[in-house]
Amino acid sequence: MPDLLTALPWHLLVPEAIVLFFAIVLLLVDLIIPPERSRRGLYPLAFLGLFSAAVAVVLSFRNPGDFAGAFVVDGFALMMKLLLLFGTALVLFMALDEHDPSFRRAEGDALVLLFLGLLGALVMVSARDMALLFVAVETLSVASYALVGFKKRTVASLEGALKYVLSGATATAAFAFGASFLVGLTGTTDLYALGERLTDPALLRYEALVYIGFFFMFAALTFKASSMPFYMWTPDVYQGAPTAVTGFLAFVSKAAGFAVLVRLMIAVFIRLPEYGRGTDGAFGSAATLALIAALSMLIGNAVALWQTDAKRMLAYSSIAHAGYLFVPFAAASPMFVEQVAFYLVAYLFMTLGAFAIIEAVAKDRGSYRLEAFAGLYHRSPGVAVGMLVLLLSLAGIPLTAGFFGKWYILLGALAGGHFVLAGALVVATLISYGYYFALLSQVFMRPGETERPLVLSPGTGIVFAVGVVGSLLGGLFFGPIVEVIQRAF
Amino acid sequence: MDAHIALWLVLGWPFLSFVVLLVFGDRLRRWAGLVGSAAVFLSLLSSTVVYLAVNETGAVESPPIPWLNLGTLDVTVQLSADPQSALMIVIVGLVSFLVHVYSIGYMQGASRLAVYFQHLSLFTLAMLGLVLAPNLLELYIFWELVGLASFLLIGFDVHRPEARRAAQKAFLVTRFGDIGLFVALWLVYVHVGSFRFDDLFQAVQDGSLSSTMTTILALFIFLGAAGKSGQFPLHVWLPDAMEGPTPVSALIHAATMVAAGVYLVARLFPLFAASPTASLVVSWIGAFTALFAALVAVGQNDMKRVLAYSTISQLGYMMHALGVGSAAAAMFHLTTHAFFKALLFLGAGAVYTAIGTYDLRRMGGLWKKMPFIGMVFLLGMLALIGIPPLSGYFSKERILAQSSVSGSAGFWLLLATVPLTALYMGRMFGLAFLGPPRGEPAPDAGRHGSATRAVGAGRAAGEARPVPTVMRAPLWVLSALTVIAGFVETEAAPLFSRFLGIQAANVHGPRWLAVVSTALALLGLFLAYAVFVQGEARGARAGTAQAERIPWAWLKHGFYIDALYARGAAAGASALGRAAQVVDRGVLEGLVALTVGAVRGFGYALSRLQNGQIQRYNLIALLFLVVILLAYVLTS
Repeated sequence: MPDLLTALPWHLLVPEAIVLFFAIVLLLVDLIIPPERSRRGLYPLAFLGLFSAAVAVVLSFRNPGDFAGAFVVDGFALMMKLLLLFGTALVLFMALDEHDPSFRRAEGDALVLLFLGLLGALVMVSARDMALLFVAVETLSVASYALVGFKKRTVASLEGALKYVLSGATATAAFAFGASFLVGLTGTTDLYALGERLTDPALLRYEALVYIGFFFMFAALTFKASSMPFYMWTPDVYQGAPTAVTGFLAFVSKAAGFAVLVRLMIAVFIRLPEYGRGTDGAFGSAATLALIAALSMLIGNAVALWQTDAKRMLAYSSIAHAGYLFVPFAAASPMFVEQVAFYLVAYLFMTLGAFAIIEAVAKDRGSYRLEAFAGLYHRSPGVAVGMLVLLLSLAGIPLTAGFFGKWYILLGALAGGHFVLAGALVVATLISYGYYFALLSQVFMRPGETERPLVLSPGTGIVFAVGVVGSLLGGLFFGPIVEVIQRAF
Repeated sequence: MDAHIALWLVLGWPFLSFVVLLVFGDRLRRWAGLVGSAAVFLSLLSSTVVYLAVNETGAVESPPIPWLNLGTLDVTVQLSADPQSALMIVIVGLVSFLVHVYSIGYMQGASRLAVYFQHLSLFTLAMLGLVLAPNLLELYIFWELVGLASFLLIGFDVHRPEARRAAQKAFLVTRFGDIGLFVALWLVYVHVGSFRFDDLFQAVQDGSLSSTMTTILALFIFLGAAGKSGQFPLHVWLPDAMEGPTPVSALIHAATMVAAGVYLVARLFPLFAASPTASLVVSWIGAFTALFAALVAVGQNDMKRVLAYSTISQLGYMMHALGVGSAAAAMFHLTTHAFFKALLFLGAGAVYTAIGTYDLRRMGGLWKKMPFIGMVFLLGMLALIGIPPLSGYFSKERILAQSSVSGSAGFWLLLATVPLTALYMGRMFGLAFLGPPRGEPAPDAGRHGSATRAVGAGRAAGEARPVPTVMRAPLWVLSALTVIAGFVETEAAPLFSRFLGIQAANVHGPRWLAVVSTALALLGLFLAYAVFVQGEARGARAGTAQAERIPWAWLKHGFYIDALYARGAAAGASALGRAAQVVDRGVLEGLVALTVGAVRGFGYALSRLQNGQIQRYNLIALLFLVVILLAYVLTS
């Protein structure tokens, strides 16, 4: 028995162990520090934790491996972990500027929860076993539920938390339901083995059950990805939560969700006989994914047109972006992992940057309404130009990272002959111009109420700057970045 | 420093200045001019480094940065300098720098000063990028940017409708030419598969590009060049472009942007050399433009418009030289022309600073009031006319010699243009600087108006404001260059050709050419003095205006080409427009309204669906699941 234990490749778990270790340390330090003292001192510790975990991830690129058939560390997982760690770091910067008193009082707890949620996310991207995957998803979810409700004296925050819990519960139920079919049919919880066994011709008469399993699992994961059908919680939760947490949900949670989807796709569903080809008109898995993608894109963008609150508008926008991210799944081109990975990179920069600047402006003007942005160009032209870059990236206009991400996805769809889907992508993008430019027109063409330059607090300022620079560099260095992604696999 | 880095710095400095002025322009105010000038100066230094490197090694290239990889097409971002481009970037950098310094004085007191210098930086960046581009796509991008900068600068005085109209006209006419360049881009992509010039020349050489296609390609490229360089019939925008501030006219519409067309043809010279038809077209249009513009220049009363038509005419010379096969002669004339034309324009700006008008009819006797400017004009005029030993003489002689040797009939047109050139320049000089002062300096209500000049009201007729040093210094530099620039290419020492790597070809025109052309020029000057200066004096005494004779009106209005465009094109366009309006209002606008309505309605309905109740959210999600399941079950 001891030999078995020592024979396991524990080194593969180092990044997660570091994150867990720091979560515990943060918790202990938080308990020790008397309640009146500021929790600022915890942040350097937290950054140290993230940094060490990132170093561990980078070092692991040399030795990929498999932990007992349940936890796989391959290029894709490591790359996603880096993105998640980087995203959480940016979220921490945003949390530095969160002024809500309830949040401030419990800041230590917030950090711990962020780390635990991150831990869940890290395990999610590496999970190879259905049970482990389930536990990891739940870890991330429960931590997120609590984080959303952190502004305890604000009704919106508590309401958001409750809605998130209830939505999440439904999603979890769907996940377990779908997973149970697949596990039941194949008799294994190992995803790769499951995939193999599904191709067994003896299972052909249970095709319907396979489809149910596939469908419910995917639908459950759309909850994490905030796309159709489990998208309706997104605006309320994003709006109510403290903006740093919104950033966490908008990126870390979503990226982890998509990573799991990719792995499920590659391990299990791509082997399904009718996948990607849509056997003689039957409404199968490919059609489902295409429908999810198209509806998310169109709904997200169409409803965003009506929003007057910046955070809600961005929430609907992120629903639409989830739709864009589903297109590679539906098109199933050979490049689909690169397409998803690159888009997530671009999405990291544009979303976190956008939420940061929204928070900064809202704090300055006291409201999240779009009109708070009026006259920003005269107040702080540099910030306005940065916002321009971010919005161009979100809208997918050259020469930004967002444009190349979308263009890459569009090429994949066209190459696979999915013209209707490609058309939907284009139409959705056109619709999105409507509200992005409404925001831009506030910034550049409307007179504001004050001429005072906008002062960016360091935390939000850093995230904003990183977002702008990342969007620009992603656009300029599209080729090299894709190459790096390809080499990681 | 490493030559590659210098290449990037050539563009980097003006780009930096552009960004700085864009973001901090409001706060910089008067320092904007210094920022812009410093950046261009540093760019000029980098250009010099590149020039020296090219001198040594023949060419400098930056490592290509892969940008787009679409199937078979591989587009890279790269900068490359060969002798031609190295020369151009030094010229562009130098003239731009002098114009920047001059602008600090000329634009003093103008509003939106930072924006002005921001546009200037953008232009400098775009022009330099155009010159250094080694592939057609990159060149096209910078070509468009140059056009944009020109539009912004011509229309800088946004409060004056004439300036805005002139900017639009410039943009539209050059855009029309740009269509040619765009089509050429497409053709290159389809027939050659790569945008790089080297690959294009290779295709021409080894015959993979048919001779018909070569001709078609060359003609389309010439269309683009003709637009930017104001060749007939796309010349109509240049005189109107004089509505922009004078330093802008000096930089863009004399020395650099208009030269971009010439540069483009010179760059793609192997293409034209391989197509006798295209070369013929180029040489004829060039020669015709030269003569035509010179004729029209004789009838202009606005100093800047005379210079504008003069520029068109000189560009015609350069195009003709390219058409008859001598890129060296064209580039040589481009160089000398840049100097003396910029000199003349900046000098005109100095005149304006002093007395507040460009109208020749209101000038006179300026030689006594501002002898320095008078000398400047004299120098520029003599160089333009081609009087030895000034630079213009050498470059013009080269062109005439090449033209006569090639046997082109355009040679006679060019020769006829020589006395005409002297005529209009002499007239301008005479009316402005000689004779008694005529009329009050016009109070500055409309022309070159409010945003660009802060002219004191109530200036007495005899007064002339002093010209500040910051405006004089560039004039000194340009004067010096006007004098000495010619000596780099004489028959005895063809340094220029050697630098460009082109055979001097030992071209000697007929012996009589130099003498005859100089004599014609002097004849023109004499005629100018006799007819115009004396005539003006006579007319003033007799109280008659001399401007009303029939041929005069034709000249003044540019042979009514503009009116033709306005009537013909505009009338045709209006008729089409009215028809289109019906379609537009009824059908298209209806469709648009329908689409927008549908999308917004869709969004509204869904937004109503989201009523805040979590029960409903979950219900909808589960309903979706059920529907999809049903769809699956029912269809399989």
